[in-house]
Parts: sequence; C-alpha cells; structure tokens
Amino acid sequence: MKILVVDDEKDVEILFRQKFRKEIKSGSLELVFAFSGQEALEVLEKSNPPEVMYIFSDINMPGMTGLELLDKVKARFPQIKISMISAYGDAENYNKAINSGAKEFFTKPIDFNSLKAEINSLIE
Amino acid sequence: MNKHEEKDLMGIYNSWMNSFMEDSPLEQFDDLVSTDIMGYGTTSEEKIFGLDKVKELCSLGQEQRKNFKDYNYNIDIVKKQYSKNNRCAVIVAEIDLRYTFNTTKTVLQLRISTVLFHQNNKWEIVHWHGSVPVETIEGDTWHAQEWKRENERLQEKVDEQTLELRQSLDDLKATQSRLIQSEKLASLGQLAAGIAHEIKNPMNFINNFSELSLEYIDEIKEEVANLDQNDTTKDIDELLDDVAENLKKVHHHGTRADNIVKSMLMHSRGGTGKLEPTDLNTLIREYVNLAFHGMRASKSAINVSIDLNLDETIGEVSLNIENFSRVILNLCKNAFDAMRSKSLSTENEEYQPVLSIRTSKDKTQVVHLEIEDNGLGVPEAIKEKLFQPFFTTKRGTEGTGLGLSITHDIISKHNGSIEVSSEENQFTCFHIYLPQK
Repeated sequence: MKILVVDDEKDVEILFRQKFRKEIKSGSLELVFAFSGQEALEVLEKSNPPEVMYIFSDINMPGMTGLELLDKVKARFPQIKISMISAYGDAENYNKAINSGAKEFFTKPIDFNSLKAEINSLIE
Repeated sequence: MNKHEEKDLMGIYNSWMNSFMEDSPLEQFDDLVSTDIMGYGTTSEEKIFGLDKVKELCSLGQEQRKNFKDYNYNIDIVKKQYSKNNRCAVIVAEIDLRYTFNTTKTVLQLRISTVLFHQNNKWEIVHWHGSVPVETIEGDTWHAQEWKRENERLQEKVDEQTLELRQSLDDLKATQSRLIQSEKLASLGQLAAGIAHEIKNPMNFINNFSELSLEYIDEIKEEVANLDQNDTTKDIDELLDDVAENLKKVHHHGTRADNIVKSMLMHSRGGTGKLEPTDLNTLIREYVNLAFHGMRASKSAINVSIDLNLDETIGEVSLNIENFSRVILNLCKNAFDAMRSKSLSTENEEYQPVLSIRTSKDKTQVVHLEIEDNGLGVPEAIKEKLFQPFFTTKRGTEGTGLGLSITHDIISKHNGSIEVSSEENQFTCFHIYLPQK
C-alpha cells in the first residue's frame, strides 16, 4: 500500500514516518513525500500505472494549491483516492474539496487517530 | 442759541438722520459722528459703540432696503432741548417708515433720540437711542418690565439650547471615541488573525512531535524493563521519567498556545456567521445554565444565585446562535471569575454572589441584554482597555485576554454594541444593544 503525502512543510515527512513507524516497519504501508503539487505529479508519472493508491495533500502551498492538484489528479488518475488536509477548515474550502471529488477533509492539527483509522481501512 | 448756531446744529442733525434713512456714502458719517459714539436700541443686543459700528449698521440697513418696495418715511421732530451753555443738544424725532417686503406692507413707527455735543468748533453726534412704541395701559414703567421679562425669557431659551448643544457635543465626543476604539479593535483583530495563521503550523509541529516523543519514551521504558535491572537501568528509567515530564510540559504549553491561536482565529471567522431569527430568552436560559454547570463542575466552583429577569415580549432577534452563545458563555464566565475573586478577597462573610441577567426592548425596537454580577468590579482606569485583544487581568494561565475582544467582535457583527458600567467592589454590568432585525 503506497501513500503519497503532499505538504510544503518538510517536517511533515518526519512526523508521518514516526507516526506510522510500526506500519512502515511491518511493510503494510509505504510512504512517499512531495513538497509541492508539481513534485507530486512527477512522483505519480514515474511509473505507469502509478504505484501510489492514496494521496493526502495540504491545500495551502506555494505554486500549485492542493485544490488544483486535486483537479489534476482526478482528471489524469481517476483511480487514485485523494483526501485534503488543511488548517483552513472553513466551509468554502471544504465544499470545494468535496465537490471536486476529495474522499475526506482533515483539519490541522491532524488528528492522527482518525488518519490512522482511514489508512487502516485501506490496508485491510 | 442764536439762529446761526441752530442752523449749524440742524444741518448736522438732518445729515445724520438722512444718512441713516437713505443710501448715502458711509464716509459721510466721518464729519457727523464722534469717533466714540454710543447708540442703543430697545433690546439688550442692540448696542453700538464707535464710528465703525455705526457704518456697519448703516450698510446693513442699505443692504436690507434693496429688498424693499415703496420705501418712504416721514420725520417729525417732537422735541429739542439745549443745555444752558448751548454746548449740548437733545433732539427727539418720531419717524413713520413704510415699505413693502414680499407683498407685505409694513408701517414702522420709530422714535429716535439724538444727543449732540458742540466740540472741536462743530456739532457732533455722540449718542442716540432708537425705540419702537409699545401700546400699554400701564405706560412706560410696565413696558420696561415687559422688556426685562422678554429678555429673561430669551435668556432662558438660550440657556436651554446651550445645555442641549453641550449635551449633543458630549454625545458626539463619546461616539467619536467609541468609533476610534472599535476601529483600533478591528485592525488589531485582523492583525491577530494573520499572526494566528502563521503560528498555527509551527504550533502543530510542537504538539505533534512532543506527543510522539512521549509515546517513544513509553516504548523505550518498556524495552528497558525487559533488560536485567541494575543501577544503570534505574538511572535510565529515572532520566526517561524526567524527559517525559518535560515533554508533557512542552505539550501542555503548546496546547495552551494552540488554544490562544484558535481563539484569535475566531476574529476572522465570525464574519461568515449567518443571522437567523432566534428566541433570545431561550438561548440565554440554555447557555447561562451551561455556563453555571460548567463552573460548578470545575475545580474553582462557587455558590452563585442566578437571577433571570427576561422580558417575554421581546420576540425573536436576528442572531448567529453559534457566535452569540459564545458571548453569553464568555460574559458569564467573566462574571463568575469576578465574584470568585471577590469571595476570596472579601472579609465580609455574608457576601452572596448574584448573577443577574435582564432582557428588554425599547421603543426603537432595540433589544437590551444586561449581564450583571456583584463581584470585584472594573477599575475606571482599565475600562477603556477591556475590549482590547490580549488585555487580561487574570494572571498566568487563566485567561487569554481574548474573551471580551471576541465578544466585542461578535456583537459588532450582529450590528449591535456593547458597553460596560461598573463600580469597584460593587458590580459590573455589560449592556448589549441588538437591533431586532
């Protein structure tokens, strides 16, 4: 199970790797990281079809926003599920994301318990 | 007085009268009038001192006459009197003045008394008095009193208006300072929201990483427990406990900062709150109850009587329930804090904390909500600062200094206003004014 996490904050990688240490160690989960929307698309294009099955993306990023990435991914890789993570939990962002086909909408600070539940439901 | 002298006198006098009645050049007065001439009318305002003022009065008359039609007059000298040395003369004339203004015909009867002195080898006007006749049975004395009464009546009116003006000036000044205050608060609120967003991300990392490290410490402690126990493992265990304590502190204070940030974000988010007709009294009952039980369940519970005095005729008020309930909670919490502080500090054993909440509606359909406690009160010096973000009197970790700032913000977004009245050690009352729609 390969998951792509997109966030312009680099420390997110360390946080996720530590939070899912056990899952990664057991091999049930593989995490890849991209620090911009552009980089995320490059990761997805590396293999055909892409190995990534699920994307977690931040919304507020310099350059391509998470919502733009969402549209592009939905257009080019409709089989990949994508959820948004944002500090801006307002109705506008939420509605945009869900209407564009986002699976879930998580607000920052990330509740890792619900995130874990979401990922575990995928692993099973 | 010989004929020659009298001719001179009457020449000057007639020129003087004509200068007033006709549109003569103003310079004409220079040769007729003493530079320190005095003139009086019938009312206290009509006083003329000096040549320049005479000219002013005269040009005013000329200006007025431009609007008159059929202007004519008749001068009848009724009295002449000279001093024994013929150096002083008093001439009294009655004048019938007729004109038409805006199709209204007016006949004015004037009496002008003029005093002339013979000085510098010529006659000069030094004083005059103009009056209009008043027909009364009682005669002149009564007239004087009537005039006095009229003046008093006018003075009263002037005093009254001055008072009203002063009152509205005070009102204006108060409004102005409130405007400046809310302008300041608005810009501070925006600034706070901006900072809040920037701080939120690093704050999340602090909380997440400290939480994660705490989990790791637990795991390490479990691993160490599986080893052969000796002094070193004991040391390690103790050190891990200390590190865990420190991480808990980091997490605790990080959470505290996060709460402040969340409150700050309320400033910017309140704007989307939709207003819907709401039963304010029901909302108050519900949330005052909630605030009360929240306080009773906390570590610092006190005994408070709640006195609700709600006007059931106020009807529904346009409110955003989510935001306005925060206002009620905030103000109740503040009230409880103020009464707790007083009960801790007071020597009066009989002090009984009371929270009074009142609603009413005035003639202009403005709904009043008053939340009053009999706690410590607000010192005059800090009343102004009360609604400023980060202003707090609660030391340490008790307050964020944002409660009243957010309250102020929410009320503003309801197109309402909030004021505070207080007397130290007696009471604090927050007055909220809300338009019904």
